[in-house]
Parts: sequence; structure tokens; C-alpha cells
Amino acid sequence: MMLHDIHEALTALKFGGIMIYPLMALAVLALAVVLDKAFVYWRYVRLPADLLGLVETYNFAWPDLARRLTALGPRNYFGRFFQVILANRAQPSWWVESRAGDEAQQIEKSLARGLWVLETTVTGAPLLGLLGTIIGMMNAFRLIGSNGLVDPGGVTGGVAQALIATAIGILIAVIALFAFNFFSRLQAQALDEMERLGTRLIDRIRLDRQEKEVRREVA
Amino acid sequence: MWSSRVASGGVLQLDNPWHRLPWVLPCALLIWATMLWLAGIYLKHLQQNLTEVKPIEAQLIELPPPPAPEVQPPAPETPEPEPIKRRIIVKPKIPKPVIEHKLPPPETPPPQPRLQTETPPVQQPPKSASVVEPRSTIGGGNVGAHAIFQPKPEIPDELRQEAMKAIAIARFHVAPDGSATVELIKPTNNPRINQLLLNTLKQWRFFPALIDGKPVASTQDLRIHLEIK
Repeated sequence: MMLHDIHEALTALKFGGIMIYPLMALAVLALAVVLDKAFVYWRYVRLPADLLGLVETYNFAWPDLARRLTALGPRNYFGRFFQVILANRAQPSWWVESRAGDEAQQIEKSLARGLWVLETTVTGAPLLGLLGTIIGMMNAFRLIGSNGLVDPGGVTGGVAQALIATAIGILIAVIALFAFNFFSRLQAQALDEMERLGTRLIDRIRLDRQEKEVRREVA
Repeated sequence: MWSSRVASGGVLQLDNPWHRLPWVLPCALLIWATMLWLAGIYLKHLQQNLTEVKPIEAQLIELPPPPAPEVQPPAPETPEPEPIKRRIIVKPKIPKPVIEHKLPPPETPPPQPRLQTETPPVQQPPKSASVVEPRSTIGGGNVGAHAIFQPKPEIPDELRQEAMKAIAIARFHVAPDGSATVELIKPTNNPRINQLLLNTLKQWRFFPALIDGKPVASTQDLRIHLEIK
């Protein structure tokens, strides 16, 4: 039943002409990127609320934080970012900041990976669909020249069928547009969060060092 | 010191989208197939809605030209078919001809010598929009020719608009044996409709005019008006 329906849809799609095939490929590609991004954000770009609270309040012991971060798993982006700061906390603060900046850049690059596909789909899919429609219309109007007879039904029918390419293109573009904006926003949010929390951790490192110096002077 | 470098380089390796390709791609295909399926259902739904549109029914309605003020005595002219009731024949798709001829009451003037009926068909009173009335070619005491088989033309969709306002006048030459030849003495503006009309009118069969009980050749002008339902 379902296969029959799909077959029906496919036969309807064939009227869109050859441009339907790149459109289909584009659709699958965009959907694959969307799925991949959704998986990454759902699985790897998440910060548990208790860890967030811990960093926000400055009230943690370094070993405890390290233990919690390893519990996040090696692929968690927040985990990796904080690990870099933790691993370098014996270094001068400018060094830590610099390393954290490097890491954030890498993370940004990694999060933005594949988004260009969505961005290209947004503009490319309607254009491809339009091209398909134009080709279909040219075929439809060719009916006029064939034997001198005009079949108005044939022309309008052909035009209507050709429009399906544009419809598919716009559908794909809309999906890609929403997905692209959504993931762009998620990426900006994640990076903002990392920057904010990273600054807190570095502040905490500075504070520890100052206290140590004060204690040494007192002694 | 260099451990951080290694770690930062590792993020890209750890999160490699290509590793996820084996399940991401089939999932994307599946989702796309589902969307196509839904689109197919939608299309089917659309088609059903389309087929529910009622078929166009056309029927021919002959509009009588005004009775010819001929040499006839004044008496019979007065009971002119004045009370023209709009008789619109609403009919289902029975293949039978719908159009009814309403013969005027046989007020019979003296027998006319000839069955000519060449009246200028125009300047028709506007009221008789869809009345079926024969343009009688009645010989006195006799019967004029009338159609006994009147198939309707099939009007294609795209001609619907045109056909609605189309009025034509056809002239039938009815032979004594009932066969008829037809010509459009006033065609419609649309050649395709004319073609359709002619093709249909050629199939009409007539009961020949009778003079003193004998069939004779006659000519009959009919005003053809297409009604689209």
C-alpha cells in the first residue's frame, strides 16, 4: 500500500523532468546533514544542569570537576573544552586563555561542519526546481509546433505537471532553511555558553593563585 | 604542555560525521520516502476531489426564429406562441435526445403550395431564451418536418466558456426519406464549436414534412443554442 503510494508519487515526480533527480539527491543530502546535526547536538553538545550549577557558583574542587567531566564522555564538546582548561591550569592564565580560544575555534569549526550544505540547498533547490519547470514548460509548448494543431489541454496539463519541480524545490528549500537557522542558533548558543563558563573557570584559576600568594605573603 | 594541542586537534577526529554516514544516510532516505508517501496520499486525495467535479452536460436548445409573417391569412398568426414557458430540459445522462419539439397547435391555414421556409432567422424576440419550438414548415393541414433523433454534442472542458454564449443557426434540408443535410447559415464565432456542432447535427434524423399525408422535401432553419450544465 505504502509502496504503491510512493510509486504514485514518484510517477507524479517524473513529470518534473530530469531536474527532479538532482533535487531528490539534494533533499536526501540535506536531510542527512539535518539528522547528523540533530544527533550531534542531542548527544554531544549538552551540559548537565548540575555541572552547569557547579561552574556557575565557583564552588567546586578541581578533582571533583575533573571527575564529573570525564563522566560526560570523551566526545562531549563541553567536556573537551573544560578539559583543556583543566589540563592547563598550572600554566599562566594568558596561556590557558589562549588554549581555550584555540579549542573553541576548533569546536566552532566542527559544529559548523556541513551547514554549508543546508545553506546551499536553501538557494539552490528552488532554482533547480525552477529550471525543471522551465524545461517542462518548453516541452509543453512544443506541442504547438508539432503538427500545427494546438491542444490547449495538452499545454496547460504540461505546465501544471512541470510546476511540480518548483514545488519540490521550494519544499526542500523551506526544510533546509528552517534547519539551517535552527542549527546556527544552537551553535551560537553553545559557543556563548562555552565562552561564559570558560571565563568563569579561568577566573577561578586566577582567584586560587591570588589566594595562594596572599597566604604565602602572610606566612 | 603539548597535550592541549593534541586534545584540541582531537575534537575533529572524535566527531567525524563520516563515521555516522552508514546510519544517517539510510535514515535520510527513509524520511524522504515517508515524505514522498505523504505527498502521494495528498495527490491521490487531490485527484479524488477532481473526479468529483460533475461532468459537463450540454444540450441543444433550438430557439425559434419569429414566425414568418408570410402570405398567410391573418387569423392564424394571432395565436402566436406567446406564452413561452421557459422549458429547460434538465436531464441526466440518458443517451436519448432530450430536446422536445413543441409543435404549435395545428391551426391550419389553407394548404400552402410550397414548403419553403426561408425566413430571416435573426431579430428574434429575446425572451425565448431557451424555448424549444420548431420553426414550422408546415404545409396546411399537414405536418412539418421535425427531428426525431437529436444527439447532443460533447463539449470539451476548454470550450465550455465559449460554448455558453454560442448561438448558431442551422439549416436542414430534409429529404422525403427523412435524411437531412445540414449547413450552418450563421455559425458561432468559434470554429471548433462549429465543427463539433456540424458533426453532431449531421447525425440528426428527421420525420419528413407531410403534405396531404405524403412526405415531401422541406427545409428547416433551427436556432441552436448550447446550454452547458
